[in-house]
Amino acid sequence: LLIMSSSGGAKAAKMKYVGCKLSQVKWRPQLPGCLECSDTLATGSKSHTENHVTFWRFPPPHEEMEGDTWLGEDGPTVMEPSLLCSVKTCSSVLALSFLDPVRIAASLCNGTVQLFTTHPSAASGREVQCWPGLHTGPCATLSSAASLVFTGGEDGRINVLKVGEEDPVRTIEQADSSIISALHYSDPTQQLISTNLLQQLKLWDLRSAGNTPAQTFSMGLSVDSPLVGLLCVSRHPSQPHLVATGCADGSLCFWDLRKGRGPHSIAKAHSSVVWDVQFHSSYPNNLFSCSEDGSLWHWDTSQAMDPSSSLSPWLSGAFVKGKVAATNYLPHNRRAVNSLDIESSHLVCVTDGGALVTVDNLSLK
Amino acid sequence: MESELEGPACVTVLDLDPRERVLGTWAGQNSLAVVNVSDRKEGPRRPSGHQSSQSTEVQQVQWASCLWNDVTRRLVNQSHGFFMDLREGGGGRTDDQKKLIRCSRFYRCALRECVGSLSDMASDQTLPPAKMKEHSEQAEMYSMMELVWGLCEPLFLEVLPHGCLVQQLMEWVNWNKGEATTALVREVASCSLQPEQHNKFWPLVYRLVLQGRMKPAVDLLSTHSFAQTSPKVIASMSELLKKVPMVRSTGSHSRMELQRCWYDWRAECTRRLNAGEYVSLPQLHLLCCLLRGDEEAFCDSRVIEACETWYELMVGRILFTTPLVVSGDYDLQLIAESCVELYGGNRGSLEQILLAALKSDMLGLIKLCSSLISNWWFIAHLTDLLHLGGMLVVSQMEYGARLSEFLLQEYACSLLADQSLWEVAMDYFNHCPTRGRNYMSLCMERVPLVSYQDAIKALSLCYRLQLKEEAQGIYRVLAMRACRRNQLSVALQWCLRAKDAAFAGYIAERYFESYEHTGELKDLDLLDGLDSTLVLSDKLTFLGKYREFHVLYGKREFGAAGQLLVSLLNSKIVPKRFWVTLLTDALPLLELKEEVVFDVEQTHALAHSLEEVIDALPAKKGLPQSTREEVQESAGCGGDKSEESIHLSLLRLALVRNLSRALMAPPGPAPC
Repeated sequence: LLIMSSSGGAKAAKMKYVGCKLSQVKWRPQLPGCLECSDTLATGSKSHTENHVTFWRFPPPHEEMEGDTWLGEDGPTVMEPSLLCSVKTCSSVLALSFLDPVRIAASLCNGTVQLFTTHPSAASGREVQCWPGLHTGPCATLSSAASLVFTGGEDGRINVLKVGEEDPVRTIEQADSSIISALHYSDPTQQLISTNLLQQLKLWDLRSAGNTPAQTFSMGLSVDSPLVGLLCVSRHPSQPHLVATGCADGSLCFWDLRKGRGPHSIAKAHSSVVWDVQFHSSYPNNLFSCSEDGSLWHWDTSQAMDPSSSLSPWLSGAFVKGKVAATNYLPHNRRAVNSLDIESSHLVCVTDGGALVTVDNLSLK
Repeated sequence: MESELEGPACVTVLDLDPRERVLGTWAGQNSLAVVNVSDRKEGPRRPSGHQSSQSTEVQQVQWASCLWNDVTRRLVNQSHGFFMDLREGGGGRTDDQKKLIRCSRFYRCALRECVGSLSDMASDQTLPPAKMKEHSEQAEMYSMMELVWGLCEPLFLEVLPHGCLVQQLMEWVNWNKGEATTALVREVASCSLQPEQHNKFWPLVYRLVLQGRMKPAVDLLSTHSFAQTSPKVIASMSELLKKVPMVRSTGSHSRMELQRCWYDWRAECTRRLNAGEYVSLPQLHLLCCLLRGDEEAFCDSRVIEACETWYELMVGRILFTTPLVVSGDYDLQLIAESCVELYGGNRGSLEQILLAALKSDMLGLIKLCSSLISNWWFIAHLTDLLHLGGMLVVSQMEYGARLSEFLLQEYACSLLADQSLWEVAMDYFNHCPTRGRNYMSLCMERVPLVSYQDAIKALSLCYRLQLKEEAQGIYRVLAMRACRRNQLSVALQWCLRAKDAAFAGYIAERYFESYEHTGELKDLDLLDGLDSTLVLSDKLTFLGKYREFHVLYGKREFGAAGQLLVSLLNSKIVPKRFWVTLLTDALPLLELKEEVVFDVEQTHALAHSLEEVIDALPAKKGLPQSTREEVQESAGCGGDKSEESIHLSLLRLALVRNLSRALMAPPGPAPC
């Protein structure tokens, strides 16, 4: 049974309009040794004459009680995020990735990647490195790990950058004959997943020097749909063979990288382009996705777990059969939700209308 | 160009020769394309190193728009949500009128937030002075809009029964002036001397009473030294103030009841005045005259000085003289005009607009707002609400629908000055039934498509608003751009989405040409994904089949591969200029030692195709040059013509040999 709780649900989304079109949002990873969850995030703007990467901070719960606080239906409400600092980028921001708590890389519309560093409190920031002209056309996506940055462009090229080195340490020309839409790098296995607009998912083994992917998965091209392509990817945190992707036609695909060349299952999730999808890092039975249609869905398969089967609920077909609890946190929103990120029980997302949306106290099982 | 601004900005465009004709045209968004055009054939060269004005160099002049910044964009995005909610439901189904009022409140909230942020920015010392000035001007304009909207809401949108309008007007004044007055109260009350020594004490009392805020007025009066020395006087006034008849809820009183109330109240005031209760304190006497509604009292200079603006005085005067007034009454206009006169009679933009509203002259109001406020946001949204509420029809404007649509269009167009607001503009155009579609189509042609995300967003918007043709245009732009970047598979993909057969055919040919040059088929991802789409174009079908041939050949299924090749040549879907390449591909199959691939009939067919190619040879000079290595090797380093003919004769030889083998043995693996 599909459980839908729309606006009447316990968790209300809070919107803060910032006045510019936002394309990306990322929680800042916590400083080493810190046990509390992060309260700082970065957003990237696009389509303006001047675009920025901006850092925001949420007031901690105790601070909020001292000030002008009001009691909402579900206890004290978190106050608005406050602006910490803003750094100018040389073009529209298409993707953001934190290398560590103080460094963030931004892939830009003019094919450049800029690396910024901030003060540990994020009170100020500046550019530390810039790689111009990595791609002909926009640098569509990036992924990072430690001091490595992986970029994918609309020209089908993949670059591997190392912080401190001017030239890419490795370039795979024509890694894709189409537009690379998303990248995901997993550190221990040195595997890189790329997706493209031809509905393909490619698995690259960066330990080998070859310029061809280790495996290519494809879901075939449908002619009838006006828009196709895999636009975003998320890897299950504890079962690395399980990958979720969002499609341009609004569906979510689940892939089992151990077998098959096609998707394991396809579920119709949104009515328009899926811009971002993410598994919860510590509660992987929960998946979040957002779309051009303005919705932000929380998919919870914890009720669909089959104790007799060792198969992950994502692969057992529970999703397709509708045995998933689903919540749309933004039932009345009309503007496209471009990006989302989760930190423990705090969900944030950003929209074309320039709203920074937060949903607190997620119920996670 | 005419401009109402003082001192129009002058921009010198470099590299233009003023002696030549200068042509300019609008180049989308905030820019003009300017070019020099010469009538003479040979223009004089300029001495400097600049290019001659003869060159057809087009210059783009762009200007920045200060209309939209972070704060005003916030207003645009928020109000877009309210506008759409009003049209497309959301927020539950309620009474239409209630919905309109709710929406009006939302707009006002957003407007207030905008004014607040702009005022903050106007006093932000870290900004350059020019920016601060710009922000303070904007803050002034937006606060004026807020004021006008606040007045229009009770006058036109939320029309209540007798006695309620004055309450709404008092709320309006308090909403705008309440905070300032409260701050003043605090200042006077904390005065170290006797509060009444403060020169603002009495003006403040009058002001509070005229604003209808009796409680703070009573509190303030109680701090007067008279409260100790002759408490009776103050107590009498306090009692009077507490008894001012106020309508607390709508519709609970009849007009007659209210009239009776006010009649009694005035009689009470008169009684106390005649009894000389306030002779000891002339200020209280004046106050009582105000309460009684004496016209002369409202013209007293002390009262005029007490109020900051004419409309504060006006609301007070309405309260005590004509409390039962309703929207559209002539009294409203009369009182307003007289109050403006009392304040010097200066009719600025604000006065004109407010007076038009008080006169219930909706058309005049819309006209004035359109010409005096340099922003379409306000009047477009207000008129839209008035139109939806049927108010424009009431005031006999049959063209109300068209007027409201026109204003929405103008507003949406002004949004296009900002790169990031075109999607909002599209939604507004979509609600303009008569001409919105044309605007949408023009706008779609000019949408910046820098990244694939932009393209996908634009396309999904096209599908949502059912702009099929515009979507085709976008696909074509994307395909063309990919073609220029030599990303044929991306180009082909966009073509397939657009179902553009001609362009797909063109790309298929380029694909094949690049194959002829490099000897390998590239971008197999898409080719392998093609199958059901092949019917789109013959050339695409050919490409797909040709790829199939390569796959079969790679799998060493020579029989099937050969058959496919012959059927391709027979089917006539292959452009003639590619035949040589196809025949060349037959060569290794013809020369296979272990197998006879082509039977007699097929060999004849191949030979026939070869003769056709040779026949066409002398007539066609620029035959595509095949660079297959094996041919080059066998042909040696002869010229083009000889290389071609050697190549063809080699083929003929191979065909003859195959024919003899085919006659001897049936096709299939050769018997060992």
